[in-house]
Amino acid sequence: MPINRNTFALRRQFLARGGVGLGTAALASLVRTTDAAASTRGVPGLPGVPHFAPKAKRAIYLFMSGAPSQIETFDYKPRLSSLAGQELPESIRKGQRLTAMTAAQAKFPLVPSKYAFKKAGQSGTWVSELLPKTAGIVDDIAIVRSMHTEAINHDPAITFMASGSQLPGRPSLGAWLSYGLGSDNENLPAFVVLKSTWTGPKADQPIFSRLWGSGFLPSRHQGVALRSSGDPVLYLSNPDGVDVASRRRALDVLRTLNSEHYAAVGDPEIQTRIAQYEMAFRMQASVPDLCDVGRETGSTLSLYGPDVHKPGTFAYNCLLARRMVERGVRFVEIFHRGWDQHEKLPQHLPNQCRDIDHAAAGLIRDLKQRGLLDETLVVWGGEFGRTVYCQGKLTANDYGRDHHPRCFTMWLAGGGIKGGVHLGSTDEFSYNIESDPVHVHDLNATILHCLGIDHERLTFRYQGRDFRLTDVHGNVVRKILA
Amino acid sequence: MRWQMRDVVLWAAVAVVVSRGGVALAANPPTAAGGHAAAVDYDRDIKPILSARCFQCHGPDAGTRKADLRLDTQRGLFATLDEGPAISPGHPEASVAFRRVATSDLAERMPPPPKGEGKDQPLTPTQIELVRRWIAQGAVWRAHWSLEPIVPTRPPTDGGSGWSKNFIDSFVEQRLAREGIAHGERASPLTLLRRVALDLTGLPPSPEAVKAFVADRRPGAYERAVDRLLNTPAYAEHMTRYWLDLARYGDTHGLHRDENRALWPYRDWVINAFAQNMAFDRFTTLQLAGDLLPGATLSDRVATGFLRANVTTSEGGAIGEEFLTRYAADRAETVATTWLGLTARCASCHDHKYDPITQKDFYQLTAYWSGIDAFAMDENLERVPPCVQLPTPAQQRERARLARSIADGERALLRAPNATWDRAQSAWEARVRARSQDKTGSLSQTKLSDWWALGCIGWGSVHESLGRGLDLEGSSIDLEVPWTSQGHVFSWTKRPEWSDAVIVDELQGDLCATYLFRSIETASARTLSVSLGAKDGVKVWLNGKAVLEKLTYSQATVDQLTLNLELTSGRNQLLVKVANQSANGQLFFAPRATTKDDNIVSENVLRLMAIAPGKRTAAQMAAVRSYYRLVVSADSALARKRSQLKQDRDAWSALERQVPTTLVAAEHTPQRPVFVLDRGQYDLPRERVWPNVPSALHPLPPTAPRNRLGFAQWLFADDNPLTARVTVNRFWQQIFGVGLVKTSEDFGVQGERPSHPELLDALAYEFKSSGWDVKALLRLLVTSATYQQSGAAEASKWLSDPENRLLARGPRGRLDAEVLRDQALAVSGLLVRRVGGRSVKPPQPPGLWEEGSLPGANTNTFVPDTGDDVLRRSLYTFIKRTSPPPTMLTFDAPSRESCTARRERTNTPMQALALLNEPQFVAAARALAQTAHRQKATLQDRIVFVMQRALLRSPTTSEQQALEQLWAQESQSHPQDPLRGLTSVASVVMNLDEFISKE
Repeated sequence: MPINRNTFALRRQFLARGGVGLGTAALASLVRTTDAAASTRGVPGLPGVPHFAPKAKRAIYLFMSGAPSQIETFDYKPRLSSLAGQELPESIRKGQRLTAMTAAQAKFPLVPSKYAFKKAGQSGTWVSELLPKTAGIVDDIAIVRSMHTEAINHDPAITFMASGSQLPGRPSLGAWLSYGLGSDNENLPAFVVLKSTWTGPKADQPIFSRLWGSGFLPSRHQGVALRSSGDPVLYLSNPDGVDVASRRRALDVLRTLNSEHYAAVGDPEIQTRIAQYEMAFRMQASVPDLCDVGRETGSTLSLYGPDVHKPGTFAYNCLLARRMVERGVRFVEIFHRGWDQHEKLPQHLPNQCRDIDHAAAGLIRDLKQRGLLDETLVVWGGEFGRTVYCQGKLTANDYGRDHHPRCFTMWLAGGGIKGGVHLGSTDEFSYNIESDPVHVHDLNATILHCLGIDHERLTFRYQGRDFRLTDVHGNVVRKILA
Repeated sequence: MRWQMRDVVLWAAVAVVVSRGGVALAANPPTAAGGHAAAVDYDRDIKPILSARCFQCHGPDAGTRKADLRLDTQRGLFATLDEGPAISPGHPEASVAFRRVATSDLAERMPPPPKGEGKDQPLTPTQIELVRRWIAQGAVWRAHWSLEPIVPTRPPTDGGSGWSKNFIDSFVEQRLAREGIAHGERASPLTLLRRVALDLTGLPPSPEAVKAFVADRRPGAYERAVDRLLNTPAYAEHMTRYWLDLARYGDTHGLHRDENRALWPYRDWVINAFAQNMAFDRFTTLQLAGDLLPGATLSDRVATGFLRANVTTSEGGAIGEEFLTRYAADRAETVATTWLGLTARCASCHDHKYDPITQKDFYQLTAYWSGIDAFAMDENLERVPPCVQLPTPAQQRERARLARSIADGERALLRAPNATWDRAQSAWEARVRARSQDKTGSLSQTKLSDWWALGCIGWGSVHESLGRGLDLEGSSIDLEVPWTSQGHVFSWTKRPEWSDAVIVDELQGDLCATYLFRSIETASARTLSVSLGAKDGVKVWLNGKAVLEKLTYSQATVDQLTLNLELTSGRNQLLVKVANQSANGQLFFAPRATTKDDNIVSENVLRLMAIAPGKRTAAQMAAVRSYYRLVVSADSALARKRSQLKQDRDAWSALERQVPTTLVAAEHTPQRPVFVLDRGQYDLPRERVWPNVPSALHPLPPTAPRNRLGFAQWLFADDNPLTARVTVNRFWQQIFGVGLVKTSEDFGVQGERPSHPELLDALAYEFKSSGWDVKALLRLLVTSATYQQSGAAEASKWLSDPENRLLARGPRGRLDAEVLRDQALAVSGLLVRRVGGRSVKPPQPPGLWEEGSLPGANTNTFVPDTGDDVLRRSLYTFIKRTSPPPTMLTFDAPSRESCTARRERTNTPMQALALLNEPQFVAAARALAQTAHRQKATLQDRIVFVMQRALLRSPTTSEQQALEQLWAQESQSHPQDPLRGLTSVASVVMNLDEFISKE
């Protein structure tokens, strides 16, 4: 058997079985122990990936769980005010399915945005008064008003956004990126998840670990949730009374004994294990360093707004996200809940917007001032839109909106994305898309494209099929590419 | 039919990789160089090429088939096209299909480049040469290997080495000989004992088991140790743990709110089945159709929990029809993966691209499993019907006692003649009659009108029915105004026959809400106390204001709920909504007089009282009697009886909540129709289908009923080659780490071929012939010489065969998540060995559940168990499927949201952090150190003790030195903690690769 084939096989084994951190580097060190000090190299992804020169090296996904209303944020519908309270025309609704929550409503009264819109930026983009800071960065972002999805309820819809399938069991976007691209910093996870506090109703939609799960990909690609209380990474801290010196001594003995065992048994997996323990040790330093925001300047902090001082807030998490991409984390996903405004929208939506507006805009500005925006893709949005008609009782000061998968708004910015553009339009009721529809698969294809991945070629063989994030669909949305 | 380029422009790109892993896995790969034995085998060599490169357009899927040519069937391959035969045996150049793949003319060449971009990927020269040689050799066609009958090949004779212990070894040795590789040494006895104990029981051997093994000096000591292990409860628990991955068992519903679900009695049923070594065919039949067996026992019904373990939802707004189709598809997929090794769901939107499963086949398959949900929405109930209860004998006794007491109490209170009360009733009746003739009336009169009803209106679930509603809620009711909903018009209907103080059970309809309305007139403002009972759910509005909302999920009873209505003087509007799940909705309503003179009258009862007592029917008599006793009477003896009855009912409810319950399968009547769904969309039904098996597989036995039971019979029909192959392969995977077919979930065309096909068939044949004896099969595997080889090997073997597919060494690899934790608890002496029962919650870092959950959900807050429950085997750890136990996920355990036949095995720094720092692992190290400290006097002996407990061996000299040095440093730096040094030693040992692997 020719040696290059063996090498390939062994490399495969490291990737499939051995796990993070070794790859080709480990081949050279098969007969000697891995050099623990050499730590800044990355974790390789798949051979041949990226498929082409990437515009973005990493990405931050700002996920608004619960589904923000497009009508009060980005999809400006001035004619609605004159139609307030009138019935949604059947010519628009066309008998399409509704959720079981409003299917039984006798009336579908139109309700305009309670909030005014202003033209913002050089691009003159309409943005709601609820998002004044976002209005300040419109020239850096591409707004897609013609997003649409297939699911009409949260669990399947959010699972669809995260994994391209409504059913549990598929890898999430971040897991695909970790699998395809690996990481630029082996001392931090390739895919980090941050869950934020929120001001809106506390009884909001749940989020699930499947949203950052690895599905059928090896579980090392699953997202690592970084937590704002307790250990930032589970079990990061040594047990009570065990200091760094003790831990180092124990690891030295462990490494010696494991090396002896490797010499006797020959299983390369033992080498991998040694490396993983060393990496864990380094993570114990690199993660606290990542989370130590004490040396951020006042002017940087002020970019993110006053919430940035409170761990766990969306603002704080945005700052952490910037620190992570600086350190080579491939994919950061920030979840912000509370956007499910079936009722009392005027009471809750302004708070929700206040939670995220300043910080999301600050994140873009901060990335930009550091020259990181060009190589960092930022995505903002939720799992579907909301209906133009009122759910429940429409009163002078109160209304709600049901789920609406037929159109919603997202924005993208940074690496690979053209700033100051808006794509797609909806009819005057923000009900049906009129031009440039962008399906969830198209969005995911575009995200992968910005990161140098041909979404049709990033596959994993499972159950006899080459699975992709975009199933058998997806077209890169070229109109928003830089 | 012309085979034109334009017909095939949609030829999609398929990855070229056909075989993965380091070694050539085909049993007898043809050498391209020719020479010896270079016979090309269609199924082994040619079909993988066709499957990967051609089936997309020329395969089973009729929807995307191009040029009307299919290459996945014998008929299609040898069909005559316009240009000549697709394949002409013996004549490559005359074969159109070969010419098209071999041509250098880009316009002609197959497969064509995918649309748009020029990613032309022709077959490789090697592949083209294989196809050429196959045709030249006569193009012998063979069905896909896994669908061929199982052929019991006689094992090759022993090479004379004496190594072989059973037929497994003969096949393995033959293959090794062909590769020119020697088998490995036998592992040392104690290494082997640890390995086999971990493989069969998921636990290291106990010190007693080690002692017994060491003491047994006679030949066959290993085999006897195996038998002892197979007869432990731990064996059954361990086997169950694997099975639960397939069954996608979890302790919550899995979707959206993801609340508690009662299914653990099913888990215990599986444990019990493995413990008694239930034959695999019976084991299967009970899980798929236990309820359909003649004379099905309670236990047989519990087994069908397998079919109810799929994830379910009750998300507000979810569309029932859509989810019912998903549940059925999930079961079809799970059953196909588990017993057939087929990836059925691929055919939910279109015909299967590779395997002979049409879209119609798939929906016929789902039709077997579509009738077992009572409801689409789980209502976030722990006990989603259909369920069975499993009371303990003590609970049974207590239940019988309460039932008697309640029946007696009801009779005495409501129906039985009672001289005192009946006399008082007569007097009361006389008073009321007199008053009704006296036009001045009574000052304190409160008058309740007859009931009016509207509905029922379907909302999909009780939850929804209570939560959502018509606009009439909260507004002033006009009985003349009809309401519309979902295209129906509903009008108010008077129901004068519905009496107060009697359980009305005529509220028709499933999963819907009925509105009831009445007016209550009172001379002056007052509080009216009402005793209320309602089946499943009730909401009440008084004068437009909601005053009560309650989910009961039980029959309506007397005094189930109480409610105080603050009436204003004059006419009040009372609106009640009853939401019921199935059968008829029920309502009990009885106002209560506060004083003897409190004159409350209900029109419906007044009407009955107008009938002379002698002329009343029995029902009318009973209605007036219970009205008097429950509404009017202030007799203290009666009040005591009533309060006793209430107590008994409360006790009954409390007991019911305690009685173990489990979800089971039962056929829903009437049968729900199943349709082929266009693109898998629930709202795009095409033709109706009935339960049937895929047409390309073996036929249903002629006597098999067209239901789940018939399906189970079909799985074990003599001409089914899949069940036996798929099952033995999975047991092989469990023991050897990798299956003979690595893709243990996929035996289809795209799956991997077996590394040792004859061995697989011999095992399948053996398993069938043994009467599906699982223990015998496992015994056969672990007593083979192949299994008993040392896991150590020279570098060349690791390099040439990293996954050990040739089996030239013993199985070695990292232990599963559950085994890691159980082992740590076991060697430290902390493990609590109690079999079965409710799932338990060992501690986990705070906040993990709360971070993602809905406040108010009963799984919102994680409350760890206390006491020794936290130290039980991981099999019993509570799995919340949207937030599974974190260390389990870290070590590749699945979330149990869907069927998993094979776990990945990865290594990450997160795993190192968990093993070093997770509190239970830390506690285990300390406990082991404590025991060593207690039992041994010297440091040397203590370290030996730790190593022996953990690894069943003594340390080498250098290990001993290193650990002693660590002990010294740690003891010195932490003088205040006398156990510190030894705890560090134990922690290091419990993090050794040798400890976290099976060797």
